[in-house]
Amino acid sequence: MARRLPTGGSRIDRSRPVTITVDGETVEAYAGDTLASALLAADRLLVSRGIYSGRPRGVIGVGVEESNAYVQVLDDGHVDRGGDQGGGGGEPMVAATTLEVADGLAVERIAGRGWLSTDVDHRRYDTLTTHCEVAVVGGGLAGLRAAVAAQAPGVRVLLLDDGPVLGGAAADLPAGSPAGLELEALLGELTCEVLVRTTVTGSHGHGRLVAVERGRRLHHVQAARIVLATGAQERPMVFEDDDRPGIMLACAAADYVSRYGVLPGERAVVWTAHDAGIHAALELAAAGTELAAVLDVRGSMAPELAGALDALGVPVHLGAEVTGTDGSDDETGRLVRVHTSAGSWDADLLAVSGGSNPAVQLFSHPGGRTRWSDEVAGFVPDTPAPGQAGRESVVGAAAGETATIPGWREQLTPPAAWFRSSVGDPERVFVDPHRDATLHDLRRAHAAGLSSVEHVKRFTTVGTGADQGRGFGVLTVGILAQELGRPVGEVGTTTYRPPYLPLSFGLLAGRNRGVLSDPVRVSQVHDRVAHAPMENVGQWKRPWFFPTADETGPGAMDAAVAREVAAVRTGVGMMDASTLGKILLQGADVGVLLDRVYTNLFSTLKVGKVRYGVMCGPDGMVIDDGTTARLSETAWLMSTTTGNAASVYDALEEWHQTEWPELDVTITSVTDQWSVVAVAGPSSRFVISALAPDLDVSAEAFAFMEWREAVVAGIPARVMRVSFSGELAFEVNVPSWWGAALWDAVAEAGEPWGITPYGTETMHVLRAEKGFPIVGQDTDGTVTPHDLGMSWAVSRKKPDFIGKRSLARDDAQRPDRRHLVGLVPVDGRTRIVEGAQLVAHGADLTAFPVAMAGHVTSAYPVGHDGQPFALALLDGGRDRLGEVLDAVDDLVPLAVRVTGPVSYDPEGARRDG
Amino acid sequence: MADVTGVLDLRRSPLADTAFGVTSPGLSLDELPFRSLVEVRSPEPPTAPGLVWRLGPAWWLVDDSPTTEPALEVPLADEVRAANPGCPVVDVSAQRTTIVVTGEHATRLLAHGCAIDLTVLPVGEAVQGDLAGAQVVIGRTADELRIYVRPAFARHLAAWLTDAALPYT
Repeated sequence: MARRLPTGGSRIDRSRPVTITVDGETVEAYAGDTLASALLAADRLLVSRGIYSGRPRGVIGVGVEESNAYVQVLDDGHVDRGGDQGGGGGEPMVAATTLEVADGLAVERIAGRGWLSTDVDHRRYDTLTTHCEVAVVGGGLAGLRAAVAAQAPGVRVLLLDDGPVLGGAAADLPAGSPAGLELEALLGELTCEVLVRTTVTGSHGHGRLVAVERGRRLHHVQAARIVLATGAQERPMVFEDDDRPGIMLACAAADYVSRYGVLPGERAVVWTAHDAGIHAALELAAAGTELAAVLDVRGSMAPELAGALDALGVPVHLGAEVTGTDGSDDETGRLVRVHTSAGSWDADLLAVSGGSNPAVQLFSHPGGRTRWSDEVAGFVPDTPAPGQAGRESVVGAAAGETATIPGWREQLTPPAAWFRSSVGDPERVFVDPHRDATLHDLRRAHAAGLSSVEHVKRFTTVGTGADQGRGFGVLTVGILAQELGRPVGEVGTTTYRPPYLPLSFGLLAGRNRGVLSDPVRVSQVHDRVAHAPMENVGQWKRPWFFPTADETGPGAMDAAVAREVAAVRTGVGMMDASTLGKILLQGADVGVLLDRVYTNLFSTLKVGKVRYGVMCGPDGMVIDDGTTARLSETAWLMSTTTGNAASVYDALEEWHQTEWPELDVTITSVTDQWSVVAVAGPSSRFVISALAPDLDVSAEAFAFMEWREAVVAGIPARVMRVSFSGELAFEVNVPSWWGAALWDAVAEAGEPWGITPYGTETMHVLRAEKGFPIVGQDTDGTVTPHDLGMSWAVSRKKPDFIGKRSLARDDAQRPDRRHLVGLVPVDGRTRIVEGAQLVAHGADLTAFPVAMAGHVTSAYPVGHDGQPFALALLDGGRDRLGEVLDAVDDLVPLAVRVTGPVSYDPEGARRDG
Repeated sequence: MADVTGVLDLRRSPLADTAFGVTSPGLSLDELPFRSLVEVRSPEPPTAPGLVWRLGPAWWLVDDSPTTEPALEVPLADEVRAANPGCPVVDVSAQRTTIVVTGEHATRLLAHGCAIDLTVLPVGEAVQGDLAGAQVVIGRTADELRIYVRPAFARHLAAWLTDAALPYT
């Protein structure tokens, strides 16, 4: 640690040495060091290279304003913290100035661009929401004062700071100094919740802040009031060859002394535009740096400061500027000599301070407006965003205050707004070192006619690097203003948008990964059918098909489905139908509501009966279908498709609450209350009869579209005679906690009849043969009930229903609308492909555009007749039965013949068994 | 229905056989299966045994002991219907299962997946919202938080809670 001072360093713990690895070489450091301070202490100045120029670069700053020193983290060394599984931890583009060292930290130097690790990230990330009355961002003296002042009974105050300890600059000052004493007093009074190492990365309006703690935890903070005490960042000035290792921000250089006990240079030239730079020079001198010269762009200097420099024998040059530098011949290219308007000096440190930028990013995120202040020589908060007015305040240096910390780098003379040297080769004046963008690039943008700072940013890429303009952004604005000959305030800054600091994908994913990435919904029968391959239906897992031990390999599904279909058509099958949406409607006016939301008539339905209905949106297009049973005079049980349960429920509530609040109706989702096992096939009556000996299941006593209460296998149940297969079928509904028991009982009772469990694929084949559409598969939001051939389900008598007016429009009645039709391959054996486009038979597929007549919505390899078949939407399809078309998939045509949508039992003779 | 107890024993709660449960000094999690739950629509708090949670305007959830009779509807439904004439009542006992969270970390645990400010939820009040992607009702009693979750989401939520609990156990 060649440049480590024997004493000092408020943030390091010299009793805890830490070993890190840089490009495979060991570097010694202390706990509390950042990577930057460790490298400076080790006199390793070359930290990165220009992304395009390859020029050697070192550390510029001391915090988030850093624009050069970005490294690739190979392993963050934080193994086993906070429940981690350990290992890995690769992270691209991490600022050395904010990266805390830890044993095991391994980094690699990069040339401006890192890479995403391909290793699985085992680190644990999570999310936490915190509500508070007051959130204070920034734990320096200004933030601490605000937090302590806000503390009161019943007032939850949350103080967030991105550093390792509270106090900001005051924490680096001697304990006995006025700032140190005040800090001690404030910390003594502080009782609120504190988060350190936590950077607020976004202010999203309405009191919502997003913050990241140690890179691992994403905080959502909802605050009634926000105090921004985000401080200020040091601004550079630019000149020819301003990017060599050894050229740093002046206050940053002094901070390395006070925080880390590191002397950044043996012999320095200091160039400043405000008093803080002179204070920094004195601090460096006190630590042992020889000051070759101090240059100030201003024409005068406060006598106190001038006197202090004079006492040290340091030559002071007012109204002077740096004009260029020389670097070493070795690969580090480190600074060896500084050229100025007042002379040249050998030096290994050039400390530059162009001023102070209030950290207004969080103020600006929700839409706060800044203004240029000549007093501050920076942009300061002006008008808060409309949603933040009255709930947000800015304090301390972030507000442009200059005397927040008593006795520290006091401003005695107004600062100058100074941005660059007046001379030098513009191609070597770097205005954004991370992007390797130069003064020459800015001038090119100007010459191209660009005057908006937003346009110039995009043209030159200035401010788009890893530091997102935190280091050089305002400087660029200042230079652009000079080029344009306009006031800085008129040019204005680019828009500050969240996040203030980069957020990793792992952090944003949090714990929502793997099995927790999205909820998996399972029915209460699931464990009985979990051995089957599953189909995802919304968030539900539904059994897709049930292969036997013989049904393996690529043909397993076709074989299983053929077997299951045959079982339902000729014997009996069973399936878990629990996932269908179920909504209980109660009240005297349910019939009125249903008459309005369904296209057909419901109010005439008698207790004990079930009716099928179609729902349309106001545009007349089908949004859902299902059956509704009348349980009593005032209670109705509606079923919806599995995927649309929530949207139908929402639609019912919305119409009721917003349009028809006078109706006596209450709506309750009961999807999960009931487990449903469907028993379907000609033998289903025997199975139900065996399960429910007290229930008369004859066609006369228990007709199609009726329901009965019964005890099924000892379990209280509601049995419905509804069918989605065209076969005789019963759906047994029981409170869901009996779902698994019901499944077992049905399987056992059905054994003599060879009952066969079937999945969603068989269900789809069975219904497709009957021409029953699936909303969302055979419809796409542009399909009316008439298009589906379901005019029978659209009442002509009802005064109104949702969609009625739209269905009366000319367009809804065009004869060439797309109709639901059936398709069979002309060759009787080739599978039709779902999604295939329908074109004229023999159409030239190379003559774009090929006229499309429709598309295949559902296709199955085998129907009851052993041949493939499909459903399709076809222009004017109902009038084209028998026509031959080509179904084109991936430019391969297949000749298909148009049929009616119902290919099986068109008379409906099978539903009574 | 000769064997009443036998039929009740055939019931399976959503988290049965999942080994769900956390027991530690600062946090415990458990499923409370088969509670009798009914939703009531009534302008005033309904007359009902057990816990009565307000779910929204004129909307209540009653939570009482598990039923001892197998029936299509829990007896609590008729009991509440009789005590609150004219108020629609729905049996939702099998529509939700109950997860009880206790311990000093209970509220913070849920803050990892729920945006609602539960720290100010008074005893005796409930909120509806999203917890880890599942729609839930969360009610606070004197010494616990009760999460009412749909059975279809229960395993997901249990897995999420178990994982979220790791740093607290």
